[in-house]
Order: sequence, then C-alpha cells, then structure tokens
Amino acid sequence: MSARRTLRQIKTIVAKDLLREWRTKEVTISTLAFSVVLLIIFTFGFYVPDDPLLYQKFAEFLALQDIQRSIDPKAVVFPGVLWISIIFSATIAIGRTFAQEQEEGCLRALALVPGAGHSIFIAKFILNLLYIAAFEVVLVPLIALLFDVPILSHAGAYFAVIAAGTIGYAALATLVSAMMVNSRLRDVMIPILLYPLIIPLMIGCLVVTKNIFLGDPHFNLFSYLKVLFAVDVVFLALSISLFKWVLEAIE
Amino acid sequence: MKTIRLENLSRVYGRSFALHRINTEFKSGELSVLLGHNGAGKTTLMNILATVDRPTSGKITYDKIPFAKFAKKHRNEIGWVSHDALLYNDLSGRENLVFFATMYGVDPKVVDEWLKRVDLEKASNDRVASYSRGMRQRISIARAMIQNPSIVLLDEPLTGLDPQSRKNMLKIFNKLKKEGKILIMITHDVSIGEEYFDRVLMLKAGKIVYDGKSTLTDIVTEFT
Repeated sequence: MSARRTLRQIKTIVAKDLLREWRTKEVTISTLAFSVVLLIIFTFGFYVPDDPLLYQKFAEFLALQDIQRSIDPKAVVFPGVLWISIIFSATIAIGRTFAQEQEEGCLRALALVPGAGHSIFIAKFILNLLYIAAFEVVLVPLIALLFDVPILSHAGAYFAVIAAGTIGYAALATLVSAMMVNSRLRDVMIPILLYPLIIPLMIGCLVVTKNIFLGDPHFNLFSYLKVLFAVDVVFLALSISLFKWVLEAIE
Repeated sequence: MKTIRLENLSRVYGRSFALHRINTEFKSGELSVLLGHNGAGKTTLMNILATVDRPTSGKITYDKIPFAKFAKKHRNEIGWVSHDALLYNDLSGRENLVFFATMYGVDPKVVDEWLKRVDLEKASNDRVASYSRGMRQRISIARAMIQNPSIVLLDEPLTGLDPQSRKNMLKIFNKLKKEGKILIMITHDVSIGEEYFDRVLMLKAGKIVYDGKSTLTDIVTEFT
C-alpha cells in the first residue's frame, strides 16, 4: 500500500514538473544557453588539432617532464572538458528543481501530504537525471565532434561511465539543492557545497574516461565501473535518508 | 465530538514569547475566530496546529491523542489555507487541484465538485498566474479542502474577496462546520456577522485576553 502510494506520488510529481517545464522551458533554455557558451569557450581554448608539429612538441614536453609514455594531447584535454561541461551545465538545471517549488510556497503544501517525504526526493532525483541526460544527449556528441574523439568505437564504455557519474552527481545535487532552497545565496552556495563532495566520484570518472580514450589494454574498466556504481548507491542511500531532516527544516 | 486541547502551550523565539501559556480547546462543528494585532501570535498558533512549527513547551492533544502523533499518521486530516496561495502558477486551477488530489490519493472527481463550490468552473482551465487575488484565494481554499480534512486552518481566507465571493465562502465554512469539522480562522475582517462563527479568541502579546462570543467590532474596540 505504502509502496503503491509512493510510486503514485513520484509519478504525479514528475508529470507535473515535466508539464511545467514544457510550458516555461525554464531549465531547458538556461542550461542550453550555458552549455553552448561553455562549449564555445572550451573549443577555442583547448582544441588540439591533428598537427604533427604540435604532437612532436607535446612529446618533447612530456620528455622534459620525464614522462616516457606516448600520450595523445587530446587524452589530457577531452575528459576534463567533458566532465566540466556536464557538471557545470547540470548545476544550472538542478538549482531550479526545488527553487521552483519554494518560490510559490508549494513545497510546504507538498510536505504536508502524508508519506510525501521520500516521494518528493525520488521524484526530484528522477527529474534531475532526466534533465541532465537530455542535455548530455546533445552535449557529449558535440564535444566528441568538436574535439575529434571517436566515442562510437567505445560507446558502451562511455555510456557506462557517464551514467555512473551522472547518477552519483544527481543524488548529491538533489539533496544539496533542497538544503539550499531557502537561502538567498542559493546559486552561490550550491556549487560551494556540492563540488567538494563530488570530487572523489569525479576523479574516478576522469580516470576511467581517459583510459577508455587511450584504449589501455591493461586497464580494468569493469572493476572501476563497479566502484563508481557502488559510490552512486552510497550517495543515493545517504541522500534519501538525510532528506527527511532537510524537509523538516524547510517546513 | 472531537476536540483539540491546548494546555500551557508556549512558543519562544530567542528571548520573546510568541505564545505564552495558552490554554483552550477547539471543538468539532465550531468555527473559532482568532483576532489580534500583527505579532500577537495568531500565525504562530496556526503554524503549530498545521504541524509546520513546534511548541517550546506545553501539550496539544486531538481527541486525547498527542497531536504530533495524530498528525504524523493523519496529516491529511489537516487542511491549511496559509498566507501564501501554495499553488503552481504555471498550471491551471483544475491541474493544481488534480495534482493535490492525486498526491493525497483522492479520486480526482472531487475536483469538479470543489470547483463548483468555489465558483471557479469557468476559469478552471486558465493558468493560476492569470487569476485575480480573490480567485487565487478561492482555489487555495479548494486545494486545502480537496482531501476532506477534519481540521481546517484558515489564515485570513477572506482577504481579497469581493462581497459576493466573501459571502459564498462564509456559507461554505458554515456547511463545513455542519459536517462536523473543526474550523479555526484568523481574520482582520471585523464585519463578519455573528451567525458565521461560534467563538472568538483575542490574542495579545502571545496571550489569550478574550475567549467568548460577541461581535468582532466590540471585541476589537474593547481590547485595542
């Protein structure tokens, strides 16, 4: 009975928020505009052309640093550009999910509905995942195209690591955006609180992305992915259990 | 008859008492009016009854059950019309009501009944953002009543209503009273006729200074 009620409430909140987003385009427009600007800056700032001279200079630079391995310069740039773009654009989207509720005082009305605590968190988490996934579908191929990275040759591996990073990030981001919902400095405070918390997950995602790109045969992708998804489960479980207190404070 | 009983209820913010040793009770089938200046403690009392605030000391019971315990299990028994409309501006009046009805697990068919009762059938498909203050107030009351609560908390529900809507709203409250609900209403509108309420509580600096029945104008004149 309780599980059915929770499922019904989650479905209702998600449908309501998607309808509102369809009408206002609030998250879509702000995230899209930010992503495009970010991508233009990165493309002009970090683009590495397939120039033999540049590759030779990069090899010399690595030799000077006493790095013997041959490293593709794109491998240095691509994972960073990819994850910075995802995280920064996602921050714009997730900041709105709870703020929309609070601006009209509706979070109070929602919090009064029996058993709505978990439903609110899971619904907002699903919405954040949907929003992030929607712009990743556009953003990731664009970055790959602009940086000339053949992501399709390892599509499954890229999909898995992006999914692992996105799930963990969305779980923590949903909690932090709820915590900051009453703060006037919300837009400043969310990144300040959130980014240090996701550093371990992001380091893992960067390492995995770089190794997928390099195609290192000794790299155990499956083990790394298992660890990343385990971190996701911990982040999600912690966020769900902590949300109860956050909601009490919001009320 | 169900009763909400308040015993020595106090709420302290910092060093000042928002409510100080309040002793009273609210019975089913009654509409109690809370009067008082700004800062008298009316909204604090309402927030405590709506379970969005907690008393610093004292006891509240509903039908002899501790109120917090009752509210934890039966929060849907509390209908709350607050200062804010608690509505989604980007949704229509009907969509708002259907949303809250579904959240409470109530058959969305009751939405039509409530739209009729608050006289918003024609504007039901317009977005709430386009509603006048009076219309927002009426749809907000329908939202609070959608789950058929037994305790109805009304924080200035008549503000912004035109005379006809105000009269209709008071008639609705009368009907809810007859259905055996506990109605508690904060108002600054002293022109409400005696036939619409059963009791008046005048609050001053967190204390009850009057508890009885008289015209609202007389009470306000005597205690201010």
